Amino acid sequence: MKGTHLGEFEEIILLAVAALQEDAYGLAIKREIEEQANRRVTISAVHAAANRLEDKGYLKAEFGEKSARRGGKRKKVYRVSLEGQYALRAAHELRQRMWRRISPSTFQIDLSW
Amino acid sequence: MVGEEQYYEPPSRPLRLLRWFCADHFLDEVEGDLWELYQEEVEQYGEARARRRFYTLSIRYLRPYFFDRNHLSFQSLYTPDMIRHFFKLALRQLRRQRFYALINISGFALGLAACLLIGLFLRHELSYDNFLSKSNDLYRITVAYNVGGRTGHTAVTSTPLGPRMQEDIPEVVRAARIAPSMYDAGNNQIRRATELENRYESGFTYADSLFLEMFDFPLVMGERSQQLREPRTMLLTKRKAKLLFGAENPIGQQIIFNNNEERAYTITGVLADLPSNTHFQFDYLLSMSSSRSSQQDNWGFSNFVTYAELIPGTDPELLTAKLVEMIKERNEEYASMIAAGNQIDPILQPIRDVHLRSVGVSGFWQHGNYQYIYLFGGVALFILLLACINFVNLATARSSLRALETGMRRVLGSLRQQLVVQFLLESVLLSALALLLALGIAVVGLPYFNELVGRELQLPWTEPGWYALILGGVLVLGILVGAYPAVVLSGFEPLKVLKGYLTSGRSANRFRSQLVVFQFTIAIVLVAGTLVVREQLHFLQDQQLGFDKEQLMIVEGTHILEQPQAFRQQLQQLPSVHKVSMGGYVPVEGYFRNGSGAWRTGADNEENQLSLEKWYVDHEYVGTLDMELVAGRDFSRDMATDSTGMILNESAVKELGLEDPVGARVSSYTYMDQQTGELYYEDYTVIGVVKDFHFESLRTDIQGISLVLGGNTVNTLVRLNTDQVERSIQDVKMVWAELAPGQPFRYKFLDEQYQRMYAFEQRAGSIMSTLTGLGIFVACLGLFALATFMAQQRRHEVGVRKVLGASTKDIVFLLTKRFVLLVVLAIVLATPIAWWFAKDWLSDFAYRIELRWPVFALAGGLALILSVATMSFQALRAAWTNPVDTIRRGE
Repeated sequence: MKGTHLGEFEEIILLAVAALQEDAYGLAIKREIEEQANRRVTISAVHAAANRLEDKGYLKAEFGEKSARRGGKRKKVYRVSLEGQYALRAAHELRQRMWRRISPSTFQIDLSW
Repeated sequence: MVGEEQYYEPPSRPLRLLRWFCADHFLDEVEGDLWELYQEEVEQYGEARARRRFYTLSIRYLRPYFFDRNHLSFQSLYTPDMIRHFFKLALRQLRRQRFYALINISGFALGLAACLLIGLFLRHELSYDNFLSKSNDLYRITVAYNVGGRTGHTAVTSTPLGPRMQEDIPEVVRAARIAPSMYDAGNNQIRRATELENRYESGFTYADSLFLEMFDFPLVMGERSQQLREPRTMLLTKRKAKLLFGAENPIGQQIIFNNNEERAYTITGVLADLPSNTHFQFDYLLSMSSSRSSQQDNWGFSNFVTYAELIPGTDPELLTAKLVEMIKERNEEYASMIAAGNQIDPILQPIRDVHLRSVGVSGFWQHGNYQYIYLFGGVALFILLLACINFVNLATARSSLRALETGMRRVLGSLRQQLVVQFLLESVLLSALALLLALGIAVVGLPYFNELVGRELQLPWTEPGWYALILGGVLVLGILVGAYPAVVLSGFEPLKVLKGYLTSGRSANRFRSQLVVFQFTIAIVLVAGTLVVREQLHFLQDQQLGFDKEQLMIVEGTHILEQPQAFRQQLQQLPSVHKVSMGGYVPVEGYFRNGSGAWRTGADNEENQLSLEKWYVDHEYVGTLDMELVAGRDFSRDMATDSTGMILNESAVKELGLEDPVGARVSSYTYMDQQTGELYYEDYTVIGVVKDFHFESLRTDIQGISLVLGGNTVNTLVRLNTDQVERSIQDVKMVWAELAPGQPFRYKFLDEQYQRMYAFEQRAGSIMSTLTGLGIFVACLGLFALATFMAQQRRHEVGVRKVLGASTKDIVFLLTKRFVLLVVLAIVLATPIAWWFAKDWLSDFAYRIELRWPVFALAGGLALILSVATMSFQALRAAWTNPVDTIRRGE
């Protein structure tokens, strides 16, 4: 269990990388999360989480071209690895299972979306 | 990267920081994204804000995850093996360079030992009265005044001040007075009621009953709340209890003062011996209620030191204003004096300041002086600094020897920071050895040091803080002195070094020269300062006092005699005695003084009276002290009118504004009615004027004095007219033994008493001399090592020069020239600094030497001679070496 466990922020990063497809580098991930989740994320937090996910094998990365806009540095572009995809699915399925166990009567808000 | 677009350059400092700590494999990503983000943010927020954000964003990377393990981790770089290796190298280095290690260690050890001992002394000085549990709320009341142009500051206050404060001012929780010098206070002949033999004791002080509730000096016996309540009860310290009663229980015993059996005191308690760090100096506390005059509401009677305990948190400044109002209300005379434009300001002095910040405040006990705290602390630190400079100088000078080692290590894969750590370890090890030696020196030197400063200090082996200080000191000192050489040494470029291109850098050379100049500047300032202090002390000793202080014997306590006049007459018959006078007033610190209001009869308003010393003396006083009459005549037994005659000194004539003093009439208070509180005064006729004479320390100006007939027989002044002082003392003693069997014979000599007034300066002078000697020694030690090294470096050059015909003189000149120039430069720099300090110190004395150039020339010359002597040894050795030895060996 422990090996596949995803933290909330890690899960969001994975999802953001998956959603971005082609150009999933640090700054793009940060922007995506800020837009979708409507919360401020510091770039250092994204970098730390993304690199950790790479260490765990959930993300794979490649370096792109150098560019002047980046002070002559290369982009590190991520994509979700097969293990990452399994982990995401596992997390999603866990949620779904849990959700199904909730009876609509216990919630005051409308659960049918 | 050809771009038409212009990009904004983010600040470089955070980037550099990032590159330093961040692991390389993160850098492309992190830096690139930060750059890009910066471009966006400049457009969005403007450059200023974007820059600020850039800083904070970069700093957010300071978390372990991003750290460069290879770079920062201790685990991989400093394995136990590596550390052991460093240690081994450091020890080997010390052993191989025994001479330089010895110089470094001994210099450090001396500097550290001086710092330890002086630090111990300063800690003690700064801890005065800290141990009192209410020390934050206790104050001493002093009075600064400017009355009719005479200014002063005194801790001696009036009878009602204490009781009134407590009654009228709500913020004053308690107030207590002590009186260390009136009636039964001060010195006494005492005995147990069961014995007949008297014993001379000092340290008697009256104290109010609240005194022991404010100042929690521990009691060994007796109930605290019951102390000092009843008239004629007393406490004594444990050591005095032991002295008087041995193993007996002292409580309830009676003590008889000066053979006055009707006024015996009963002992109610025993105090623990006073700690050495309190400004109080007493061994016996007498209940204040034993003295009638202390119970009267008489503002004119000033013999008390008043202490107040305030409600915690009270602002003493605000309270001062209330105090002034209270005194105005209670004391009409004070109010009218203030109204007449005089200044008399009470001041609340925190109890912890009493010891060090009472310079210029007259009182009963001698205190310290905070200026000397700064002085000694500063000088001790300077000595340590001199030793540190020695280390840095030697290490950098000899760096060329270690350059090869450094280069080799770098080539073999050592990182620069590992080299730095290695060199730092060496210096820390050295400082640890030095500290061990310093502790040894401190232990051995402590008794001498205690004698020097007049204290009983002990090294605080039982305090954990002491060990922390030692450990911290080793680390800080080691790193401090090791840092610069380590950076220099590890900074050599390995390739150049290995190819043999190393030239000892010009900049390092200049830096070394600056340090030598700095060292000698300090040393010369110290020497010049010490010389000035010594000269001033000599000056004080030889000062014309206006009376003859030599061969004047003071026999104390002669009021105990049943027939004092018989004593006087018998002494007068002795062949070795010239003249005898009896009385309490002696012109040296520590004897009777009596400030009394005086004014020209009829001419002046009583409110503008000035306070004049009024001494009651006998007919022989002026003659015995050998004072010089400048006008009029001495008191005469043949003139009955002399009972209202008065002799003034020149200052008094000036202060009273008398044009033709002899025959002028002066009024002065005589006594106060104890019942009604009314003041009586007498009109006197001036019969003579004596030359001004000093009766207090030469720190102060001469004050006006008036002499009138009267007085007691407390002391007998004996003017001897022989060089055989020992014989004369025996003669006087025999007369005493005959007239006062069983009474202790006490005598002093005026010149010795006079010297005691400057005991503090004498002490400061010897401490300064010692520290200066140490400083000079450490500086010369460094110079010696440097000269040794230089001579060794240039031995080939010297050899070649000798072969080519250079004389010994030439060689010595060659080797010492540069250092001599440096010392001369130090003399130029040091002279104005020393001048300024000396002037500042001298300004404390009303009578002081002129600062003249020979003192500074002497200091500079001394430094020059010492340094040349130090270097010549090595230079001569180099010059006398057979050139064949140095050249052929060709190492």
